[in-house]
Amino acid sequence: MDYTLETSQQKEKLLKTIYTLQLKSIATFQTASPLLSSQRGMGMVTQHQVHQLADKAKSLCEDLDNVKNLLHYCQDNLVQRIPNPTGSRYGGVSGIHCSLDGSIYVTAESAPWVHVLSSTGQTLRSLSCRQTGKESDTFLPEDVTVTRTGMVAVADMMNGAIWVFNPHTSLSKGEWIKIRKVGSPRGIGVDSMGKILVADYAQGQVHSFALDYAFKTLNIHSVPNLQGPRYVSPAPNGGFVVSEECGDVKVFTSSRKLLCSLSSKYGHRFGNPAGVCVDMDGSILVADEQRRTVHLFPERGSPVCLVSTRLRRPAGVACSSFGHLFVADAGENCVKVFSPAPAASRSNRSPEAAGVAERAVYHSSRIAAMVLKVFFPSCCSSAESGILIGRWISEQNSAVILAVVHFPFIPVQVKQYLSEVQRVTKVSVSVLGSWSNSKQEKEESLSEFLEDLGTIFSHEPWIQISKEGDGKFWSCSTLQKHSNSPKEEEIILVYYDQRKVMLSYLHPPSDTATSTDHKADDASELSAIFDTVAKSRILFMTDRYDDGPIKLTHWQSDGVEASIIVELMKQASVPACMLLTLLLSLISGVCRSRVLKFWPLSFLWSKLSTCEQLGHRLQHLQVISINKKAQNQTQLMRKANIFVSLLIDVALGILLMSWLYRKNRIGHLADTLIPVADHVAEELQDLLQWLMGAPAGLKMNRALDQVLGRFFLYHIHLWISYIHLMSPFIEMILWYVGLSACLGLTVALCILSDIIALLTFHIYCFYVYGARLYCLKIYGLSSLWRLFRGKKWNVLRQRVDSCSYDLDQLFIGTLLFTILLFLLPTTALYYLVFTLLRLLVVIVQGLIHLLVDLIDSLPLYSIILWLCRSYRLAAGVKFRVLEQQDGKPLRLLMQINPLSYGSVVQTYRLPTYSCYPKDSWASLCKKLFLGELIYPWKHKGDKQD
Amino acid sequence: MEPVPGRRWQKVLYERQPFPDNYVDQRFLGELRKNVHARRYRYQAVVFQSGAVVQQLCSVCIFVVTWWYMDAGMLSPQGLFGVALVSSLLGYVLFDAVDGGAGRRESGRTRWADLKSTLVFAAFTYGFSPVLKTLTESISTDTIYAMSALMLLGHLIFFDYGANAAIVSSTLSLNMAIFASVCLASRLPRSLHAFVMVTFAMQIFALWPMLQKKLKAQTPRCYVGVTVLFALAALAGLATVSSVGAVLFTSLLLAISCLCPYCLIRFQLTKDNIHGPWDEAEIKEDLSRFLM
Repeated sequence: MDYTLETSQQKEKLLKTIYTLQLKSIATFQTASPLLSSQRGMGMVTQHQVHQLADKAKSLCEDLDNVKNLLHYCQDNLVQRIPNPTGSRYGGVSGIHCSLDGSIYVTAESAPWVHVLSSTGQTLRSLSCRQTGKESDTFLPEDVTVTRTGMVAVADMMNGAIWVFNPHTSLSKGEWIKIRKVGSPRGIGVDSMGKILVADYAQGQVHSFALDYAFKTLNIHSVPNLQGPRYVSPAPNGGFVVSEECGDVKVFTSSRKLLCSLSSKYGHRFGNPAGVCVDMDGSILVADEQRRTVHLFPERGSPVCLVSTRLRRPAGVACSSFGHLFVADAGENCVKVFSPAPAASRSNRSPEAAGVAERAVYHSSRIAAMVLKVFFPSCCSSAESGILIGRWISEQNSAVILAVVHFPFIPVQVKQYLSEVQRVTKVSVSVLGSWSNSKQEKEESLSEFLEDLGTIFSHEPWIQISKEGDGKFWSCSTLQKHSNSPKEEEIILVYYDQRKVMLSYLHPPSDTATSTDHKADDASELSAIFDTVAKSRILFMTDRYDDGPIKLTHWQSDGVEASIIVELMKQASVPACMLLTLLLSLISGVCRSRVLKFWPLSFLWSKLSTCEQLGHRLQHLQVISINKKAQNQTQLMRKANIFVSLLIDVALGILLMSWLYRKNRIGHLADTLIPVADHVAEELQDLLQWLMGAPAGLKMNRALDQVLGRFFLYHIHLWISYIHLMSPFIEMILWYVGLSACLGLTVALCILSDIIALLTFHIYCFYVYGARLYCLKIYGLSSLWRLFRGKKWNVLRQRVDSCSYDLDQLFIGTLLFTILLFLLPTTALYYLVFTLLRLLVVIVQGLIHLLVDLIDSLPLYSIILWLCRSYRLAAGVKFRVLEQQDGKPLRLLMQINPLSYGSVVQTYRLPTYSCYPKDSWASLCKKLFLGELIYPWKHKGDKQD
Repeated sequence: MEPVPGRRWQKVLYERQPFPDNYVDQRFLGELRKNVHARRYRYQAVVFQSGAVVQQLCSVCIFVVTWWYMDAGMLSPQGLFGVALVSSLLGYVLFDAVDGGAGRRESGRTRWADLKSTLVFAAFTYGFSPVLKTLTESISTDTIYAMSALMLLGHLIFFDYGANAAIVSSTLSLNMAIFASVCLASRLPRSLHAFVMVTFAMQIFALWPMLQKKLKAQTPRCYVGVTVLFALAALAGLATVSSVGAVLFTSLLLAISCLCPYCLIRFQLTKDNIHGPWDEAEIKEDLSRFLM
């Protein structure tokens, strides 16, 4: 609203003009009215003057009408955008209809659906346009309307038919009934008599017919000679309005006679009129597809442009009985909701924009509809009389009471105190009402005094709660000083545990897509309350032994003694953190030094999972040791989770170490390791001997078989000799490596995985040799097979082309093809056996890594909270109804719903460094078949990219 | 709709005419023609052309018989190699002599390239012959025979006899013959045998048809004589292996060279194709200049 001087002068001028007109005309009328009864002449007024006056009055009336319309309506007042419920899979929204109860029916171009939306845009129902019994027989509704009996009717231009959805069939879902064949129907509507109107595009007609209960069409009439009628809508006079493509909008009477065309009546030029509809005042609204506007044609006065911008390709329009205008914008594929007459619908809208005087009216009208909720801390139920301080949440009409200030107090000091609290906590804490807790019977003077307090601390409404004796039921009342409606409103008293609510963190439902708007509102309401209590933590810091100017009752922590230790730890943690940071920066600096980045070393680091795990833990430590305070709950929880998981990891590691180093277990382990490695090598030798014979009666090439077998046997021989060379040192190595378990169980597990990888290196080598050989053969064969057929792979066009080869090329190619084909089974068998062995090792390593991941990612602190203090992580609240008494307010107890285990883990899961296998199962199988190498290594670098 | 007497119907779509869409006038059947593309064959010419099929059948027959002798040890590899070498040199000289070196000038292929191809070919075959010998040791002989028979049949099917058909693929045909020869060669007792066998296969399946084609184009009379001699040689060779086979092969050759041409000319009489304005349009002009 613009309150500049100029505007106010304009306003004044307008009002003055109209008022003068009114006064003058009344005065003239009083002088003129006796003319009819008496026989006197007309004084000096001539006939010409009367005519002139009549003409001027006519134009003045028109101007006044225009001014009235322009005052009444509001241009481009976009309220909401409802996305196309069909999504963007099909075309944009085309047809729209708004029924009397406010629900919206929407169709989209070439989409076999009719969607029913609520007035706020939620999809209530989706009707699939599919003929029952014939699954494949769908049709595409062009436009939609609702009949008098509440059935959905659509125009189907593709099949040239009108369909009606009958919800009352024996089938529970209802079915579509084809009621009539029409040439090419586009627009559809229902007139005031209940007849269905159909705009027949190709034939240039509008048909109207009635529908009986057996879905028979009666009284069929047609209006011919229209140029491409598109949309049709009932007119206020009982007839109908029809828009013609790139033409005019014509109004017909109930007897189907042309009444007028809008362009000639209003002198308006249309571009391409699309949707038409009629609002509650009887004005016709027309969307112009070419000019991207929506015009309103009032019964008197010139047309008003209601929407001039923000439309891309308006198709259908509809008006709801609440004064909203729905425009289906096919260009942006959404339904836009406009409020062209906000003055009429102001009572439904948000009050923030309105002035103070309106606000009081709004409240009194609103409160009658809404109950007043008082959130009362249960710890204050035995407090002495005083005043209630808390926060008033006007949007929800609820009061959150935080504390009770006892008598006696000095009002100025209370106000000062409150403003200070407000400054610190950023919560608008104020005095909400009075609280009287009289052990004896009610004292008259006290209640009067309490009412008087309301005048000192002006608050609207003034809540008065009084408790008598030890009664459970308190009386509650509100005082409205400015209200002129003496209505008694309903009050709900909600008790809450101040401590739990303060400490708990509300997790709003994450899947906002499925939850409706209503639920989200509820959640925000709750979170406002939780927020209020949590933010006023500073208010609760003062304990009851404090001798301040004001005595308060609220929740107070009892564990003051224990908190000394906490304080000490807090103090100690700062230097510890600094020391840790220094140490960490030193370590990470060493790690980042260039000496370690050279090729063989960096390659080695990236392949050893121990290094990865150590780096991950280093990052964790860095996160913990940051000196700054956590900004929000999520970060705090993350820090705590990392800390606890680190602690538990190290504890488990030390446990493992203490077990390992007792009773010379390391020595035993080393003693068993060598025989195990020997045994594995022997088994492999046996396997190779078997392969060098005729395994499973397969047709192997003997010569190649022998060569490969000997090659691998020599490898194993080498391996065994290395192991034996190493054997004296193994115990020592294990002893030192075992020490690293004090860095955590996960590190120890990673080392185990690395040791397995090192001990099975020969298997890896065999696998690589087998895979390379097999891969070569497969690629050679596939390429030579193309040569065999006289084709070749065209690299530029990525396809197989035919090609003419030379004679010698053909000969050599075919010779090689034959040889490779007969040698393939031998190679494939070796590859298969070694791949299976490799997969076994990979699976064992994968299991170890899974365990490491589990320890790394489990949010242990959150789980401990969930087990012991389940209220700390709230998913929501539930209300328990307490005992009730007539005439007393409803009493509810608010209890906190804890978060479920699954969502705790999901919300607070810590990120891990390992990404899961890159390949899907199908691509893994393909790689195995083609003989490409598969690596179990984690690709950290890939993930960071 | 009745035709208007004043206007004549035209076979155009770009003008509005007072006739129904499916209207035709009496000239419609006047354009009916029969057997436009039918060709009249002469018996002798057809018999002459069937010589290509006879030749190829005889080539396969001679190859199989030769392999048989090698396998049975009745033919020494050195002897076969010598004969093959001499006949190859003879053929090489003949190849250039028949058309006076015109073909060679056209293709621009030098004698050095010929020598190089020969060397590459001989070296590879000789180098791989030990591998070839042990290649199919563990596979049963019946499998090898079946595979070779299939491959030789495929060779005969896909061979380029001079007809213009989609199925013809000289590359595939030659590759199948080589595959079959490698399979059969791997059954022979020594690697030298395998080498000679593969060499012989190359000569008879790759080089001999080239010479034949040239002979057929330049000196038809000589070609007939060569064909008859070649067929007689094949029959003689087969007769020493199996007399029943020789009889059957003789009847097959006769059927192909005498009976089949007779049938073709006989059945030509019953041909009855009609053509007229209802035929779908054919693009007669060469459109390749538009593609440039």
